[in-house]
Amino acid sequence: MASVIEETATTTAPFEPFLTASVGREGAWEIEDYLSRGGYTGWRRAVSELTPAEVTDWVKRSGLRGRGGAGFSTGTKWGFVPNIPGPKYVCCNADESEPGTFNNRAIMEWDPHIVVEGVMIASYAIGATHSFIYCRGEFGLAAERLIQAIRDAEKAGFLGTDIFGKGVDLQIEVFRGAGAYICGEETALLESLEGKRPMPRSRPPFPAVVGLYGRPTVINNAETLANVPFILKNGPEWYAAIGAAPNCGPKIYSLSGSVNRPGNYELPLGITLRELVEHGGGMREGRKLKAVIPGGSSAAILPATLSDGRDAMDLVLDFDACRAAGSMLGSGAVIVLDETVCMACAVTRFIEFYQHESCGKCTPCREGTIWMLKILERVTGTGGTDDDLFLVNDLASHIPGRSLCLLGDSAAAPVMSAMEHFRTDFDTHNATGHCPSGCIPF
Amino acid sequence: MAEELVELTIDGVPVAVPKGTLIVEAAKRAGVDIPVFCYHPKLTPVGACRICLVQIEPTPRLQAACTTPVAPGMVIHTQNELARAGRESVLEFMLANHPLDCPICDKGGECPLQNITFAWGLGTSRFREEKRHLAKRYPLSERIVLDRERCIMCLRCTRFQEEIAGDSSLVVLERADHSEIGVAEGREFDSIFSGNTIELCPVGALTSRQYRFQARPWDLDLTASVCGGCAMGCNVTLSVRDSELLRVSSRDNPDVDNGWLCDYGRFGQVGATRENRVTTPMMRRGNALVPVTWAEALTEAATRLTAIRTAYGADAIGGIASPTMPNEALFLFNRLMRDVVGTGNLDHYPRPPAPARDDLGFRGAIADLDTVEMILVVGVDAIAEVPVLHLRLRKAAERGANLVLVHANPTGLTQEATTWIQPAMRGEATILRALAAAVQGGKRPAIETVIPVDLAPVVAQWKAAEKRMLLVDPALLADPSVADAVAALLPAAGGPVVSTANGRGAIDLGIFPAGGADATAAPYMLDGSAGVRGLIVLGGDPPVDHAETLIVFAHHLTAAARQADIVLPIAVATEEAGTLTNFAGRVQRLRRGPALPGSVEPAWYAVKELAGALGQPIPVTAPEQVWEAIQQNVPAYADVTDAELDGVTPPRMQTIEQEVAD
Repeated sequence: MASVIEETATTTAPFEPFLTASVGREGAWEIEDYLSRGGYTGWRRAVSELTPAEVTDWVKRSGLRGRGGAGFSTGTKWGFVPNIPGPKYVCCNADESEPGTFNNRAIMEWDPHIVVEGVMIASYAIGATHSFIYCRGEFGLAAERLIQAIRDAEKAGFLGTDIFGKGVDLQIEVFRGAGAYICGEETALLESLEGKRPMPRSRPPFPAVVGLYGRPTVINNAETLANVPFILKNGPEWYAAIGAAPNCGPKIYSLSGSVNRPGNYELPLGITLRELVEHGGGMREGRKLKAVIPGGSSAAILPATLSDGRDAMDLVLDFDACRAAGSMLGSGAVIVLDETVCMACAVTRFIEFYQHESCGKCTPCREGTIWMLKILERVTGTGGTDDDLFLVNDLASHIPGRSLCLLGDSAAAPVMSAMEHFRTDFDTHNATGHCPSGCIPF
Repeated sequence: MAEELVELTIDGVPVAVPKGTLIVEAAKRAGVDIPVFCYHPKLTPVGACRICLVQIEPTPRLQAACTTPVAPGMVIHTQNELARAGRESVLEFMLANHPLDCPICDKGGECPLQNITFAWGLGTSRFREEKRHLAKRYPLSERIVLDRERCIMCLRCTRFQEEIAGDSSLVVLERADHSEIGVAEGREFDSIFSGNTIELCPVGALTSRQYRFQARPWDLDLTASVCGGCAMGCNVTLSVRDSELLRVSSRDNPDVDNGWLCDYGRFGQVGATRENRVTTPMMRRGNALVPVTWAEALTEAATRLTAIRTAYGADAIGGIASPTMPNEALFLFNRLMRDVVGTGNLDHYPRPPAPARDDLGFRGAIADLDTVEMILVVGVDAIAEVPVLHLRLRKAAERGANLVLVHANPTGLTQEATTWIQPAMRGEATILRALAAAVQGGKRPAIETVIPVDLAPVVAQWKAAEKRMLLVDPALLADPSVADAVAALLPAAGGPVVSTANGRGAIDLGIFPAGGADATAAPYMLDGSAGVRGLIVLGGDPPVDHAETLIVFAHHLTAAARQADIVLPIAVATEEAGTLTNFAGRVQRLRRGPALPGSVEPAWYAVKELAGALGQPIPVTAPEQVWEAIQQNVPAYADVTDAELDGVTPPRMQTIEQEVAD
């Protein structure tokens, strides 16, 4: 992966990657290395020169939008935190579990200080004095590097009490999850942090008002927060100039599937799928594109020819264009599927994942995922009937908007989009009892 | 302070409700039925089951009525196409893996899942896969069995244990479709409030081992009554089939029990109607008690009592009543002893050592605990003595009331208390005197505690609190200096917490020796030192050491009954009609559930019959007439209304339609 990133840096002429610039470089995680690159300049500026409200305003003006999936303005989100006395918290969501996504992990393992500095600045902006990084349980190295980064930052006086002599107090803790996908859902994450079983809370109230331990809380994705130090260092205008407003800044695309060089590619928001695939060395074995999932397995699957007739290769990979095309940029995990892939089998594999990861709290997700999986296993196993296909699509349509959190919606999206665009793959299974691509039923 | 009202419409019905009201509660006011499973007004909303989805204009995405608060001008639809489709799909998902074993399910007939499916469901199933298999008949505890296949994960039981009982013994194990309820690792489901989870369960997942397979709900006769287990006076529903009591369940009264019961009240009274009962009058022949008729027993009793009175005077006869007897029986017993026999040798046993003083009566009501700022609990171990009071105290502590506990030993409330003062053994009296002295501004006597304690903050808080309540162990009042101390603290609400089921009634009705004479108190009548030759015992099981003639009105074959010369069979609380007075002075109606076994008679009737046999009939034919006489004779009871006697909830099956908020 490291070599891929280095190559990326050389292939994008006008844009210099900064989030992943150090990924793959031995020792980049040490604080001396980070300081030599101008690290903690943003943090010093925030505390020394700006008020919390000004920091929030800078982030608003930068056009930074949440990289965790929703694409909501980060500065606006911080602005929702009520200005009341008492504890407030920043929780960095580093429970990166969306299938196909691996960008948080790369930056946390190679350049943990940019995440830590981002947490610091966010904490200052909302008035938190105790913040958390919720790190996915499987990320042993990332957690280790984050903990070391925090310890070194404490020694250097960037954390602790009366930071920079400005009366600002802050401590940051790394909390390691236990490997459940649902912990990436922000309210389940909070429950888990509180030591409870991670089951999502119903909203309202929203975490910005009633979050961790019942206090106002901001939850931001690790990649989102990693952008913040650079905004503070270089200014919001510099940042907003990257990409095409209102899709500002770089995105670390996690490219996987039928490409020659899958990996993380940090590019300005707004590139097309074609450009991204070219960065990834083109389609594997020169095969034709069959489908693309632009934002992790929770996003709807798009066919090679979009609904407006355009080639999916021309799809612009930003928040708004992906939504307009009927899917979403999500976590930026771009999964490229070629003509040899059986979509019925691919979707069955996805549903197996969501069924396994459903927390069991709400009825539609708990029961809907297992029911869909049982039907799809039959269809991709020995073959089912038209009624089965109608039913699975109907069941999928009954989950979104009715489940407690978005996990239910996520499980339904691939099923419904695959049924819409790739019905023939399912029909072939039903007619022949075999997979058109020769997949082995699981 | 006037509540801020929010106006909205639900299915076209305009309604105004206080700000912060959940849509599901607003709908009740509008007369609109929104089905629920996981929602319960007394538990934290979780939005898990999703059956209550409604559409709020203009958003097409449905929202859970149980977690969404009202907003001004909301237009809510529960019956349009969107809402209907959402509800139907949730119900379809819910039934997909639910075993349709309704014919052998205890819940069948009073099952919310059945009822809601009947009202809102599709009537057909599209689920052709094999249903999920999980443990059935899983013993959660000695009292409760869990069927994990029937469970719909509403999380009511886990929330009850965590939020109300406060022990978090039940948890969700596993996840996704294999989620199941279980006992937390290293714990046991031994909460004395565990039975409430059976009633809360909206399906037949949690069932009572006692009631399992005993009846179909539609075969039950339901009777509204009051629990005769302790002085709390929880309102209950008695479920009777073929004259037999099969089940005791709650009957929500926000002024008393808040809808909860303890397991003693719920499970303890069912077997009591059957085992070891005295079902016929008996007389001693040699060493044995042999069955006789009522007429024979009463004639013999009257003959022997008359002989003692003739030979030694009326004061050679004494009477001891149990403070579990209804007011009607106690009232007539008082008449029997004082007017018919003609003696003041009358007492109840067990009772606190000193007769009540007028200035030590209980002030205010149990429900005041919901609003007071400070609660001082001295020597009362609520969870052991009046368990459901413990839940009320917990709730007050959760709300933020300042709960100060004075008790020599750790009690169930130690964890909840803001301050726990642990005096040396039997040092509660010292603390009370010190507190009263300090509150009155006097010099504080030295006090001794296990952990050194500064009473000054407690005194300051007590003085500062506008609404406060004192709950004190009545045994402490035996010491006049403590009684004075408590009286000094009692401009506050509260008072002694008499723990026996009708101990407060016995006090109110004056079941005491004439003139408060200590020499003829129950212990001295029992050990013979009071010079009593003929002893009449009404209920209970006092330790009789010495009596030439012993007449016992007994429901069970107690030690006292086995010693008796004459045994007269009387009813237990669930078979009685009458009234009980709880520790806070609230009088409530007992109604007969099961039929009287054998030739058992209600206690009031049996007492009246003995008076008749003694030649002075008391002209009453029904307990209601006795109650009228009580109202005329006991000023404290003169204004009690029928509504207070009956409580607020009719007898009910274990469904969720009547669940109400506080």
